[in-house]
Amino acid sequence: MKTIKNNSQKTILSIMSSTVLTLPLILLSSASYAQKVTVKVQNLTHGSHFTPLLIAAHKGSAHLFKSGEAASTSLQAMAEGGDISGLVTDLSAESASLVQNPAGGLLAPGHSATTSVINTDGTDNNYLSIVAMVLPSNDGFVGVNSWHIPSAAGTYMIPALAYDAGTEANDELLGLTDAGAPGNAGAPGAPSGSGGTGGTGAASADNNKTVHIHRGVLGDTNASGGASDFDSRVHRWLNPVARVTITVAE
Amino acid sequence: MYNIKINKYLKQGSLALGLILASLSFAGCGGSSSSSNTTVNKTFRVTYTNVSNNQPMSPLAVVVHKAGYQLFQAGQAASLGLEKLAEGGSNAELLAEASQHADYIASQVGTGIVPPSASETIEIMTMGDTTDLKLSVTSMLVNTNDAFAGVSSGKIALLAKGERFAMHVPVWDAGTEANTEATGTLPGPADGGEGFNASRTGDADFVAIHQGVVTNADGLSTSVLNESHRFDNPVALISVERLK
Repeated sequence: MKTIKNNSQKTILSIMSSTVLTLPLILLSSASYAQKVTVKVQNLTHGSHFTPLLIAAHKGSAHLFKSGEAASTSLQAMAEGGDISGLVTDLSAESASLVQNPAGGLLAPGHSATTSVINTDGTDNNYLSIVAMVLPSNDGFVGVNSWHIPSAAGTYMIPALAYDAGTEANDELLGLTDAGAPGNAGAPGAPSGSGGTGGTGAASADNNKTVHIHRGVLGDTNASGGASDFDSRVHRWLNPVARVTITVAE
Repeated sequence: MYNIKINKYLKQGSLALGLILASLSFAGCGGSSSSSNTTVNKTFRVTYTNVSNNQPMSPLAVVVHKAGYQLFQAGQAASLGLEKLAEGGSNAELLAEASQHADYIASQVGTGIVPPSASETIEIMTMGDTTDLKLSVTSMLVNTNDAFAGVSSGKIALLAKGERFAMHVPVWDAGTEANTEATGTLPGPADGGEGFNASRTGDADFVAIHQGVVTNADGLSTSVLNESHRFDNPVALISVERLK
């Protein structure tokens, strides 16, 4: 009880001193309670598509993923097959502000998608996370984890990295049955073309079975054999794989 | 060694005295809670996470220092201590070098190898003048010839108590050993070969961003590495929180 009382006194004191000293600061901070944010995602890769994006403003305690921790089943479904519905359910339970699929389908290499205005008025949703599966891959995804949305109005640019969910072997095989379902082997498609067949499998299970930075596509130049059904001249990428532009309105 | 330590202590002492006088002259202004120009002892919690697929990382070397010390610099030759770390995973000589530098403040070592997916948390305290504090962290990717993950002179001076920030750590090539990936040349579990070798013949002899490993899965038939050892940046995440 004593602690609570002390804390509230401190809060009152700090409010008083800021009232006395800095009127402009108060105006700024009150603006931060009615934040209007738009998010643009540009695919920077040469030959990899993104599945429908999930863009979330959420509170600091919520996460879509964490490096070094096992993927949730919802993250696995997104990373292996592009299905964001599980993550939407998870984040809705956390009262997050969500935008689903701003590109209206796949986001092609070089292309951008921009969200409608995300209004976090009256919420604690001050952290931005973004995910979408990278195609072709087994369980690769582009991700931003809990970027703190500034309260100051302005335009901010951040890079987004390609992660490996750690849940599926990167065999780089196309055409396997129901390859996008969680737990099933194979990559669900290569929308940019240049996909091959007849590969023997580029990799066995990941050594790192937690979410980690993707080591990249191996691929090969044999469209009807070799280890991989991906084309090493088309489907490789390097970080960053996306550029995210965040606009915080006045 | 002993003389250096005494000189260092005296130097810090005189700096500290000057700063105490400076802060006294500000006393009475009130409300100034976080001047960066203080002699307050600070404690930082450094958390290092290996986000590679199959590159265990050698025991961490963590150094807090001022601007005059550089653990490494892009385009410049590696010190002998950095060469020993990047080729063989030993941090002892690197930390000995650091501790003799006039701008050295403190260092800590990790408890052992940091495997993929693992994290290690290290707390490091500073004393005396904390203006312009820098943090350097480094560790070898043991399934390589001379690759290390590292940050040199990360800025931590302005971190307020309770604040935290995160850094992405790239892979550097020490430039001290050719990237043959050949049997017998890599100290990690992929090979169990040689660590440090004093010769720098056959490599650039300057630090650069690593170009990645080729591996036997991608055309280098003499490589002892396979596709699982490949990596893209960043290979590690560092989170720094100021506790005190």
